[in-house]
Amino acid sequence: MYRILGYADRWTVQQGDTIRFKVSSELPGKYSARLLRVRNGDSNPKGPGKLVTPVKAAFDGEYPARFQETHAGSCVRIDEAAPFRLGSFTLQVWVMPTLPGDRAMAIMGNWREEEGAGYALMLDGDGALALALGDGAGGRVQVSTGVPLLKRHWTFVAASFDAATGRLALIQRPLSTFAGDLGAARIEETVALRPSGGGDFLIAAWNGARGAASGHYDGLIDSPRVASRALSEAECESLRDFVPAALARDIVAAWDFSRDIPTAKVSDISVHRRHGKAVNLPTRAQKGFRWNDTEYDWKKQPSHYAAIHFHRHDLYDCGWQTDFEYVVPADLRSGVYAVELTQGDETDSIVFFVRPKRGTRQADLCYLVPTASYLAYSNHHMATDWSFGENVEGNFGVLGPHAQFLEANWQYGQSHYDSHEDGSPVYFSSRLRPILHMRLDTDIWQLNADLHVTDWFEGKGIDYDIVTDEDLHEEGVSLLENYRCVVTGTHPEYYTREMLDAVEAYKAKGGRFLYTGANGFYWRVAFSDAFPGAMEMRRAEDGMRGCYSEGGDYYMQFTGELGGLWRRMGHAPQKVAGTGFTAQGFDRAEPYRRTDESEDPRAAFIFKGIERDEAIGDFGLVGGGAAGWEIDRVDFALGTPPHTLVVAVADNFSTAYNWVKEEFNHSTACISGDVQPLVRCDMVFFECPNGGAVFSTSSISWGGSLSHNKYDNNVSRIMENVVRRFLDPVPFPPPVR
Amino acid sequence: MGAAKFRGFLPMIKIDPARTDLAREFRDNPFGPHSPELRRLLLILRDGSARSKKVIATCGDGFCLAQVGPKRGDPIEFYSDRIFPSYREALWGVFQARWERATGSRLALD
Repeated sequence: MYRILGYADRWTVQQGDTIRFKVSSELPGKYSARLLRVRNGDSNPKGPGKLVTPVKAAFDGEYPARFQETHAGSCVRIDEAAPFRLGSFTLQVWVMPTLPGDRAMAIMGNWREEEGAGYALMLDGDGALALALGDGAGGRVQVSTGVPLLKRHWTFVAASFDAATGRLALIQRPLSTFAGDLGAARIEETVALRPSGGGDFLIAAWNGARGAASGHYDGLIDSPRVASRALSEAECESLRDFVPAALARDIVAAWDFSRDIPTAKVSDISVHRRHGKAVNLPTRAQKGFRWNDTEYDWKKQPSHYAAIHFHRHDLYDCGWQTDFEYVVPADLRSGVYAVELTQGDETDSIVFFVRPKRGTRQADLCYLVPTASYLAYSNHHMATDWSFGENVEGNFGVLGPHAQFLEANWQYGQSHYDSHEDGSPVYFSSRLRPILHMRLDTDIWQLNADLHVTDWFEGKGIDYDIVTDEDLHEEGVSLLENYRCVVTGTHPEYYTREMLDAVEAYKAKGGRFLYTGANGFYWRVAFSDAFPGAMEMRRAEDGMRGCYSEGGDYYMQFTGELGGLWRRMGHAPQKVAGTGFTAQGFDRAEPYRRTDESEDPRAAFIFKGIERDEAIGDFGLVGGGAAGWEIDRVDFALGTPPHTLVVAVADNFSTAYNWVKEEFNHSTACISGDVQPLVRCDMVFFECPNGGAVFSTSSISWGGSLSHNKYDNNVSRIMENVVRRFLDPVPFPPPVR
Repeated sequence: MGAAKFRGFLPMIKIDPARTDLAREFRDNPFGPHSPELRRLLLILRDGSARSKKVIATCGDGFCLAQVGPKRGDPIEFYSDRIFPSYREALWGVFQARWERATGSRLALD
């Protein structure tokens, strides 16, 4: 399984765009590719089943299969190699290793591992500072201090080598002062070997096979310097913050990671300007050895944030070659599409979204596909590495095919729900890689759950356009303002400032906003022009999350914005949709019951054909009910508009449902569905300025109930009542006081 | 950050091997709702990541128990000598395995 994999260079395209597909197969021979229009991706036999339609495309056909390598692991690669071919040298840097002793790993140098050529400052397999020298002709020597560096503590390390005498010195000096001399060492030796050759100068990796970096380092690095002679300890000390004039001639390079933080550029502050490039998105805006907890925003004191955190499983772009491309025809209808790859019994589906051409629309309604949230969950490793996963789900977990494959293939990167191997949070997720959770017919979560809604549109004959979060981020409200109705996906959790502003502007202009999900508008994220296809997220302070940021680590490198919950920034989800995240549980979903407020004439259109006392959604493909998995509720203190009608409520949730942690001040056992009244799901309606309105179902499970009984059920009926009214241009009158 | 917090794993909360009535309750009704005492037991048995305990894995058309390696990328060990045709049966299998690990004694019901 998963022996053929692919991805595209983009997720969203419009007519006339070219989308390029990259495929790797472990099998010899040929594979076939064809284009599908996707209506539903869930093959559950209790529902309508997987529904796709082949669409003729110029690329239909067979292609030679080939394996394309993926090289995970971040590092810095310096543009020039020749100046670093040194006889004598000093390498000095501050390091905070996070996995010392896990394996031998590079700090910096031009070492070529296969040939044993050049030099490398490194940590040996025990985590002690070492210097490797090689002449490329079979001669190798490695000298180690024999003293492991302290894990998660800053240590100044240096290696000097004098080619005239063969004298070599290694120093490691921790910044912290503990009793005794923990982690400190200083040795001198004389060796006969003289280093020769070598490859590119790399920081946090060395040169491996076929030009790829290997020997990746896990940990932080701050202020690396290279000199062309063996410096004294006093001279090394003088290079701490800048390059003194007296040493300018001896310095080959001195990099300052606090410069150009939002980019991949790594700046050399020496006169030579031997800049480098950060590869595979290591984490910048990280606390360095100068950080002293007096400033928490890297923009205000960059010198305190002059560290980069490298990880061996960082990945930005697989960089695979293109197998074939597709120019989106002018007559292709907006929608969800997939390229199906088949080779023998192996298949993959590369999903992408066709939106209308910019400035045009093909329907009155648009479905806003939450691709930012898809990115956040991409290739998550929850099944293997979440220590609280089974108690969150309220059941024993299952290692499915995805989890088994990803456990054996960490090179395909991680998600915002994962921690790195050293325990630090994963701050970046990229779509420039194969993503198992974006295949059709996999987890009924995010993409495949959202396809329940496209299936319903098609089943009901409701025309719709598709637009994505990336489009919304780029174009703002102009993307939405010509639509009478905007419908969200089932779990639009991750929002940039630009996206949130666009939704609020759409509402203010009289738009009709239908939120068919829960736990939406929750985390603040950022995109970057410097790293197209990647998203940054820092989980500051609080929230329901898979990992959390360290103190002082809350401002995003892409934009400098504070990361974390929108709620903590004064823009709670209740301001957007009337409701916000209140609880989650994953054992079963519940039906809603109408409230007295549902009898308000303002809500009459919602319940046309619905009896006052009937259970709404006591069926469905996602937990057996319409209200469940993650659920939202009103909170007038957090921004629910005062005229909001709570028209239906689901409660009586099980003990597997727990109240969200950002809402309580002290831990108590009174948080589960059987004892905590705030574990509830509120269906709401309210009017917006200029004739607009918002309707929120406040449940992830909602979409899974729409197709029940061939789309003839009370969830479907409410959805249709709301969509039809929201498409009606007649303005919603403001509520009478 | 779990791995960085402690040296080694914390000891498990003790469970009483004599409470086979709770095991029987789970076997007969794995999907709940459960009694408060069984809920407490399940919280203990379910705590921790897949790297610290046996888990259910898909295995062909059925399920088996498996153990994820202590380090990322280590091979997963599959106990495919015992295949569970259904998820429900696999739930009972994993319950037995974790009970035995937590109590040190074999779970035998009549």
